[in-house]
Amino acid sequence: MEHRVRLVLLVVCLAMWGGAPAQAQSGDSALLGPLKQRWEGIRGNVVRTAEAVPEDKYDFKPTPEVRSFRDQFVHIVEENYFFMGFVTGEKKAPPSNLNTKADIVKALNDSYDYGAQALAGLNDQTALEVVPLMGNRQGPRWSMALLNIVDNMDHYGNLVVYMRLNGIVPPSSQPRR
Amino acid sequence: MSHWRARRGRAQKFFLGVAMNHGRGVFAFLLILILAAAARPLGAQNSMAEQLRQQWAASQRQMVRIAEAMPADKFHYRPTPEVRSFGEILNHVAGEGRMELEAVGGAQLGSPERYESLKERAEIVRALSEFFEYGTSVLADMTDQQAVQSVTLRERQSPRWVVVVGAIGHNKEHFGNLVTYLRLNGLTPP
Repeated sequence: MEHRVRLVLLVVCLAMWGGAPAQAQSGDSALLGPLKQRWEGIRGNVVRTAEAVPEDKYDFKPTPEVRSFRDQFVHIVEENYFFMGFVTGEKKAPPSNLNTKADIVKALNDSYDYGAQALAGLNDQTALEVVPLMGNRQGPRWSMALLNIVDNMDHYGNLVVYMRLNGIVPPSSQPRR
Repeated sequence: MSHWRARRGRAQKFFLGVAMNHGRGVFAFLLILILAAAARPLGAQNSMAEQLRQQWAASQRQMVRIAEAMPADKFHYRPTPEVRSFGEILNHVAGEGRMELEAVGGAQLGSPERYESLKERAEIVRALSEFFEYGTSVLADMTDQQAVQSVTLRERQSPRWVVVVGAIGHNKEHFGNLVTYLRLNGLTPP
């Protein structure tokens, strides 16, 4: 019972922040507003990477035992459905047969749209609700979105070096559009 | 659950009644009660601050282990001339992150470039570990209420949790660089 009371109190605090003038426009709280911003931030870097790499470089890998550009992009698509599936509570299968660069860019965008919809479907209370996670663990829904973003950044960090090895300036090092 | 709802409904009617009788002062008082209760550490699975502590500890393990996996004579390695070397990435991570955690902790902000003169593996790894320990001390007593309050960093207001997550994400992005640096040197990341 006490656990639930505290959850309600935290939601009240988040909602109060959401009412602050600077944030009033978005209507999002101190939890969901920044989480959505971060999701769109990593989407921008990953999708712009997939667009910037020429199609004939998609099978490049810096050493034989690691993922190629293509493998990294497909992996990111898969993990976006996997992690955000814990946020939505459904198990949505990622697309298969991703062959061309156009297929992959579209699949990446679709996977980020799926995540954006998952986040749009949350309010503070459902975001903080403790649900079953992978490996028989339990935790709040929003934590899986956070893990998803952080894991994407790990792969983006790999991709940055792949790009440099191919003379491509990474999107995060270019002037902001 | 229904028991809780019924009880909450009664509580709302009670608070509404009290407020109608006594006006804004009572609302202010109730607000203080709510904030005081929320200021206690949750320590529960749904605590935001606890999520940050767990992620911070995981980030520390990961970054220190990869730093220790690279031989000392490879700390100057860089895959292409225009990018940071292995050691320079670690100095950058520690310097930027330290300044961010200082903002979270309300301390005087130091320079994000404070570690950039470090060259040797031992001193770089020591600075990295100190940076993480500093972050651990800042997060140790943080409540959920503090986690959602804003602090000033780079002339912007951001909730503390967002600054901490920013630092964790920054660590992870550079971890992704370091993994590939190790591979390019024929080493298997830990």
